[in-house]
Amino acid sequence: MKVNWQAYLDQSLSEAEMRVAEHELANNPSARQELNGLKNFLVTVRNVGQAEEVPLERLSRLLPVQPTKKSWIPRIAWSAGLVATIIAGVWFLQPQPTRVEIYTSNPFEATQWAKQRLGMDIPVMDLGSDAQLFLVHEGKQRCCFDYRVHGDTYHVNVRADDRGIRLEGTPVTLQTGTPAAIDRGVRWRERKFEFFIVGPQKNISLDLANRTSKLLTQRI
Amino acid sequence: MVSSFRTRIVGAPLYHGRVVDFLNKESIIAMRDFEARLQDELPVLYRVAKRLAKSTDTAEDLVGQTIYAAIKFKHSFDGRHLRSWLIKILRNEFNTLVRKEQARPTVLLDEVDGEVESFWDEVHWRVDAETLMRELDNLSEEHRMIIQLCDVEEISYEDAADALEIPIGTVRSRLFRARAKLRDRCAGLVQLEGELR
Repeated sequence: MKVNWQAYLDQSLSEAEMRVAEHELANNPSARQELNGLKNFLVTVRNVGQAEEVPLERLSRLLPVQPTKKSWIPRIAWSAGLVATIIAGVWFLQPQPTRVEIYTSNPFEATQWAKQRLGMDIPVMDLGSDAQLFLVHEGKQRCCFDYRVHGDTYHVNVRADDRGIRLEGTPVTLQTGTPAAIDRGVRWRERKFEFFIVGPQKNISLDLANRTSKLLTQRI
Repeated sequence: MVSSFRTRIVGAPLYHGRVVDFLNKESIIAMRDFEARLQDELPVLYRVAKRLAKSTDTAEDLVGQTIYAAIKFKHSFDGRHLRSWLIKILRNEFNTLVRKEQARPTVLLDEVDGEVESFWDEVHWRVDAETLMRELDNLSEEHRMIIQLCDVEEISYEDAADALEIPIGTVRSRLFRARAKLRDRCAGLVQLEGELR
């Protein structure tokens, strides 16, 4: 009986045929030679077939090109640049308030200047030897006196109290008995003015507020 | 609700001037995974295409068309047997190509599972690699395909049956006959060379 060695290799022989094949392999050298020949044939076909040259680089170009994953950093940089450009454009296009300022350490001179520019009837803003005035400037209906205290800058803003704003923040009472509020700085209303003092340290801002309030009270 | 975005993404594929609009349901991540698997199958696809078409240029065209079709009809892929699915597409593309060129005569094969003569001794068939490949290409389309799939690419009988759309029993019998034919051709050359000596 001839054995189908292909069927033997892929194990599709029946049990009876398998027993015959095993018997042949055990007892017949030519059977082993046949089976080895078949195995070598299959290995040769596989090796030769798989050794064929494949132009993988050209074939890969047939695949769709996916968008490469872009870093988000350049996108943010571009976005930030665009936003900055827009802001700058808007800033330059809108009419700018005329910013007028004088550098002076003379409180009297500064107060006179403020009266002329804004028509504010405010006292001479001498807040003491440790609060050195160095600049006074005007903004939107307000006047700002800048003082140097222990190396830090504190801004004493004064504007006409015609808006009726609420004092928002932690309520405090100044030494003159005037109610005030503390948030970023110290804000209060006194006489016809609204005051807002802001600087790096709130306790110093509050101290300057007390001094300012006393000046107003003394004047009365 | 499945969001549908049909906007062509940057670098979306172009095949022969056609835009592949495949991102209507699948995410880009899934697409990348699918393409990575396609990339892995390229060598097999090319060898099978070359065995089928017997031409390197046509093989590359076939691989390109197969990739295009695979992406276009990705939704019909069950996610399990990519290789056999791709080979099935490749065969369809090849048949379409051939139909366009000429009306093909139907090749009738004897699929009867008869006895295969056993003379596998290497003395009978040992030839060089180039000759073996040439003789493989001289087999009928069905025979060279079955050898390419089962013996060269070593895909399972089940996947080969799926790719060729034939029963597993037919895969086995066709493979046995194809091997025997190839061996016969090689053996004939060996015999011829012996006579010439």
